[in-house]
Amino acid sequence: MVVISIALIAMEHRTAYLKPVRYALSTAVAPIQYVVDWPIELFDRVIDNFTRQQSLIKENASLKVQELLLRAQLQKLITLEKENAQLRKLLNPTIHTDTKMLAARVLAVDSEPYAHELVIDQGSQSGLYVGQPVVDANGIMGQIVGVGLLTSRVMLLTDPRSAIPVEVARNGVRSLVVGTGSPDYLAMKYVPETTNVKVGDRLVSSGLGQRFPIGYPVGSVASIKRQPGDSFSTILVKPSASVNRSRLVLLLWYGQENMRNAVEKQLHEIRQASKQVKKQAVTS
Amino acid sequence: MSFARGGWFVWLSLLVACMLTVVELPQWAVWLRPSWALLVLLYWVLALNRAGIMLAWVLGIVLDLLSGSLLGVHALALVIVVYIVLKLQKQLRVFPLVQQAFIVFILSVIYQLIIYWAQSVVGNAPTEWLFWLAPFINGLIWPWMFALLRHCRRYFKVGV
Repeated sequence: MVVISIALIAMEHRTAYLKPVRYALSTAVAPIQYVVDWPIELFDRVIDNFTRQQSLIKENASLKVQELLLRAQLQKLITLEKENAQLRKLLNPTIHTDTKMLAARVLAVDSEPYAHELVIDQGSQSGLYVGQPVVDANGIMGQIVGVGLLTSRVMLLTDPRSAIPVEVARNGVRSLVVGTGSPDYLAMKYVPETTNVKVGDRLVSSGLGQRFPIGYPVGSVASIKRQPGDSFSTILVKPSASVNRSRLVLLLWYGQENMRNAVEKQLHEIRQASKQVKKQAVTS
Repeated sequence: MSFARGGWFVWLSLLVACMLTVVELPQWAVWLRPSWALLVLLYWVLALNRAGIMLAWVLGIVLDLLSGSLLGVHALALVIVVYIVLKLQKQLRVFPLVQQAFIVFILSVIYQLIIYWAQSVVGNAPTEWLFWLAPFINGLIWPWMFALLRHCRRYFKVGV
């Protein structure tokens, strides 16, 4: 049994042979997850039912106001988008394509506390795949790491295994943001001390890893520590997505082909730019 | 695996233990969760002659699926711990409860160690110190667990 266990661990770690096995078995344990989730979901619903009419009316009113505001913003956005699209046509086409989206509910199920993972109520039945980006209303939450027929596992950005390529929205400085294992903070890696990054800077996904879509909010810089003698600064980032509180998440189907093209184009531009810089350095 | 009588209760208790393992806890309590499956399994291994390595392995695989770890991590830990218990079964049965709780603490440390080792081999070691809190909780909760399950066992006449 011990040998079998070790063989299993090794096999799953090194090879892909066990994928169908895990897929079938995780479908088999999905009922346990649903049963655990059910009373909590029921409780939420009962609370919902007992919410007084008064508060519903109030909420409705405030939502209407919000909708009005959002619509007003949307009008502005539509014109901006048009303008943006025109400008993009001049620069480089097909960065943004239509994305298919699907909402999923987070099951009230915990994983090991050291692994920051969620279980959601959509699986391969809805066409989910491993590596798929997951977002909530405020930003990127993480990616899918395991798919069953009816459930999937999401690895959050806060997981120590997670990394996402980002750029600073203000000036386009590129870097990696990795999970720290703490639910409140991410860490921005490999930023030289002299780089122009300030507290409060918003970080968006750069799409360079070809896994996360371009331009979604990742977080904002919360603190910067510059230590003499250390070539990189220690930068903590507060995630934009409410990583632990979201009950509803969105799954994105991003055109992989388009994403790849866009990223390659970007990389090409970077290379060109650095070549020019080198040339200037040589000539001067 | 079939137990002489009341086998359904053994399975039910293990199923409940699996559910308790994944039930959602508030953020401050996630590290305080005892290893329910380990405790229930230990009880049945001590109480019945039939429960053994095979059961431990199957339970471990279920735990791996529920917690999303690589297949075999929990199975390995449970199998080794249950093997030790089977070796010491005769002494453990006659120990007073407090001493048993201490042994459960030691066994839980071994269990966590194996999981820690297996996770670090695949590059996903738990970094938080709180990871080592679980054995203490297990030791503390064992006497109550033992009393409850013994009561149920007598009530449903499991394996008599």
